[in-house]
Amino acid sequence: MHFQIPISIRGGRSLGLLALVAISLITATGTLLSQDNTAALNGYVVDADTKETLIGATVAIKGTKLGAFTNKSGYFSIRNIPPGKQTVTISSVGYDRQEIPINFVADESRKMTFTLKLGAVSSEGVTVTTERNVEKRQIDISKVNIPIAQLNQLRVGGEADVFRSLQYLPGVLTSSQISSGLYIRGGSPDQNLVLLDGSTVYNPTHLLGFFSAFNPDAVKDLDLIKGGFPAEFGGRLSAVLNLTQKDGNREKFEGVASLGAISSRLSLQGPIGNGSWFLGGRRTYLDLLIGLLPKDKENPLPNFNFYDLNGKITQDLSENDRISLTGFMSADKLSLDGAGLSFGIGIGNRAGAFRWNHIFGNNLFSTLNISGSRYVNGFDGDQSGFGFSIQNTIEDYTARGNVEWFASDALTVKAGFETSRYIFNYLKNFTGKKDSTAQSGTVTSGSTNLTVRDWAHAVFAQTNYQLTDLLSLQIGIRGGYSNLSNTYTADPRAAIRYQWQEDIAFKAAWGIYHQYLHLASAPDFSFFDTWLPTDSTVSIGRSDHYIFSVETSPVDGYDLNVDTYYKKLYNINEANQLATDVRNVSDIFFSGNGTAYGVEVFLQKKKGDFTGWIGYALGYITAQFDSINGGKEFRPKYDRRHDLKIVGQYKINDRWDLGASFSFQSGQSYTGATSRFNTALPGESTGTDLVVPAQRYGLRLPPSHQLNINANYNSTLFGLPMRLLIDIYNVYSRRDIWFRYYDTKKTVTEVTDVRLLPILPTVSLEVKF
Amino acid sequence: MMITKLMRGALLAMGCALTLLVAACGDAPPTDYIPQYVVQAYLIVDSPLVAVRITRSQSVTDTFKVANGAVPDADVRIITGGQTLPLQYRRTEGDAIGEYYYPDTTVRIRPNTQYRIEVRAKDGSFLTAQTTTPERISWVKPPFDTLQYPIDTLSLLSPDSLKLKWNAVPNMSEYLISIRCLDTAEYGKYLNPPTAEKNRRMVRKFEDQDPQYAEVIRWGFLASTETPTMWAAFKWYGKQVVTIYAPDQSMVRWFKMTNWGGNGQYNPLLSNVEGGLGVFTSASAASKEVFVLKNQP
Repeated sequence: MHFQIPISIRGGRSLGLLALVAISLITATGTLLSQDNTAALNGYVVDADTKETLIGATVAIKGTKLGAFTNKSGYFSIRNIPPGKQTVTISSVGYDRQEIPINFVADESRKMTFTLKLGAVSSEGVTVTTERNVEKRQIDISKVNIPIAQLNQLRVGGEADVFRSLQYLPGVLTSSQISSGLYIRGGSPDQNLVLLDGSTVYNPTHLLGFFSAFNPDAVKDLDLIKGGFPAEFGGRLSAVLNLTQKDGNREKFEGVASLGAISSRLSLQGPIGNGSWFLGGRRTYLDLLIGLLPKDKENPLPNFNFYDLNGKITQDLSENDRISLTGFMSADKLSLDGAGLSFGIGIGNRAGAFRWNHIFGNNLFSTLNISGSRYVNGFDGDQSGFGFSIQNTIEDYTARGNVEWFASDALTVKAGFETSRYIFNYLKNFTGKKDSTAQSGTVTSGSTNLTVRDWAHAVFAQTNYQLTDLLSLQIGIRGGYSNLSNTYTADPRAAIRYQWQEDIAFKAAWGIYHQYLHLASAPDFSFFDTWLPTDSTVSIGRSDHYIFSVETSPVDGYDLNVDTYYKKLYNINEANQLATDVRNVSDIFFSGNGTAYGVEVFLQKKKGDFTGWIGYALGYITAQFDSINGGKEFRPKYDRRHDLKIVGQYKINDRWDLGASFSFQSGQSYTGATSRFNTALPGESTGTDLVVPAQRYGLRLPPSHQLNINANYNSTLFGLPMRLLIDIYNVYSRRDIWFRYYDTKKTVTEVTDVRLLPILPTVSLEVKF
Repeated sequence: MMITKLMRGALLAMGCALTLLVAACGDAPPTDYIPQYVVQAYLIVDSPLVAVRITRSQSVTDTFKVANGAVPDADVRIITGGQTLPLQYRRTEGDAIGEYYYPDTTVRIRPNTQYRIEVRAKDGSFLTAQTTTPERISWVKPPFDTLQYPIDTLSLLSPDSLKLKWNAVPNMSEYLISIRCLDTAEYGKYLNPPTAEKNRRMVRKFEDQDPQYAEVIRWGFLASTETPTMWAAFKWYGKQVVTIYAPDQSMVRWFKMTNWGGNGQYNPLLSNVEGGLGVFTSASAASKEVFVLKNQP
């Protein structure tokens, strides 16, 4: 049996943390028992018009330090409220603040649902002491929460995109202008945990990775934790992207239709029973347009389409029970049918989840999430009767449960479990006959059919404890086990917040993270992602995070965060892209280690007619693989020293909104070459000229920078609210270099750059009904 | 207080801008050149020991001339079965580099045998590599002597009757195939009765930009012991030779790098030469001559 528990020192820390958790619980319980003759308040905060729950809303008792944020289900719980007349304040970004007087009775537990109306008047520069007290207890290190309305203003080619928007945050890098993959603090996209209503999503991209597969109309809330994430999240090394889908309008039927240059969208929602439903879809129409053209097999046109579909039904079974059913589908298909050669490339995601929230008493909130997810990518072709295909599938069936105990105003405890059943299938057929796939579990001449089944389990416990008015502590531990590699892991996590002054807080976090899944992917295209488990030939990936952060508010209405981080990565992977004879996971990957460190500065304004942010990151990433670059350390392609992002949105009046975004990043690394030689296979006369590389990624391309502007015109069309979206992508048409290579077609070697998108103006129309 | 904070913010922004300016330039392509020796040898079972090429890499900033890379004065030896075979150098007309070969052509490459090469250059550089030759490969169902290129060039159907098969070589799952046109000019003189008709190339739009457009040979990769006749593999009509190879793994890796590798960059992981660049590899081969009839004049 193989144990992958950290070395003895960290093992000691893990046990120490477990002890701290236990002590906190005992202390808190004592505190709890000692504080009777008080009242409690719990319930939900919802949008007044749609009754959609609001995440991250603040509920506080004025004149006290009591308060809470609503969780991912819109639920809050406040305890130890002094009996008598109190004023409850409820607030959320973009909504009018409310103050409600309530008379609390001793030993009473009151359940209420508060409604907030969308803000008609900007609440610029409002500082409320009550909400501040609640915020002071939130540790939330390296966590970014951008209002979804702001993210939807960041459009590419007229298309709002969640991942593209996140690339405008400091420390979130991209491999190229046309990739939506997120490289966060030195980690690659496969090291990010992407959750949609609690279900894991694999390769959520469209159009060769240009867009994410998340329809922005369907997304209610988005959290990005760039590092140091707590014990409730696991299975990835770098970051967590947690998306919540809309429940739907509980009051009336409504819809939005949008017509754009690349795709069109339609979303519908409305009440049903004691709840609501939501359905949203998006599709391209390039294939439909190509279908109208006469077919020419001598000069065929490639056919491409993508679509995605989101659906959700939510029902309240009782005052304490809420269930929801969520579904998500996405697919991309590229095909070419020419003379003597036809091929098709396809990727697809299907996911469904059942969620049950139950409230025990007034301070125990539980969530059970049962989900199934299937990701498949494949390539098949036929050349003059020679058929070939490659297909990779990952199926993920997961049950996740957790209980959140609002023990007191100073203590919240969360514990849970996660059990996943994985089925990986790798199918390769190069026999020439599409129907001669090998039997399952075999490798024959020209055909491979490997299916691997595995179980992975995890349990976690974490506690948020406010030790004093100024000091908050979050500690937790996550234990895991993977059946195939027969490995146990223990991931301790700790975070602390100290409110040094009224407007200045220090935060720090440390944690160990393990990742059991590996991804083989082409660096610039997110098309052929192959997910594989850890077997006996490779080790589980691991990362150690160290983060220190300063949070302040230099001017009213502005939040400033400065994060410094250091991350050590072990057993990370680079794909061996020329591997064809595959029998084990280690045949597909090279394994190595990495280090990432840097500093990020983030200044944000969330409220008022003018909103936006400035972010700057200085980061360093290095990697070392025995099998690459002669074993010498190198910086990965996505190492970009400087990263500056400026985003602004201004509401001129009820008709017009204007926005702009600017990004500047140090150039990507590339591998230079100093010499050239000719090689020929037997019988070749001219052969192939190759250049000999210098230090891997040892040079840097010129920096990439671009400016985008957008304008929204709000009006009506046939009496229905309408928005005209005008975007200019890459205003000064700076065509970034995608990659640089040495062209050896001529006797003089030419250093040639392949450049990306020029200026791209688009107009889209959006109508609400 | 506010003004002071704003000033601090402004200073921070200026500092960032200065840093960015300093870091704004990309790196120029490197110009420091280190010459390296390149070995290139493919030992074919049952063939004489010929065509061992030793060259030197050239700077990317120079005009590349194949002849400038020739290395005619190296000490090249092949060691096998306790025997050392010193090679000689020759350059025939039209061969810009020249080759090293073993003069006694009765000495043939044996199957299932280990061969090692040692190269000592005049400047003291030492290169070595080794390969183990595979077992012999043979046709089970070779191509027909004559093939009729399909008239319907839009579908290019290949019936099962035209399938090629060969024996499975022990410990081998990957094979290579080559199709070489033996005479790109003449066509009719090989017909019965002969005609004056000349050969021509098959025109395919996707080949226009192929860097190997001018090659008379095309190489392919197969992961099985049979294949349909793939019409797209032929570049010309007329006289061809189809050869199937059972290659050593080093040859498979070299093929992948030269045919599938990205951006024309040499990948040292795919070379088996120590002390230099290149490949020293082996294969067994089976060939068959074929005549491809035109589908139209």
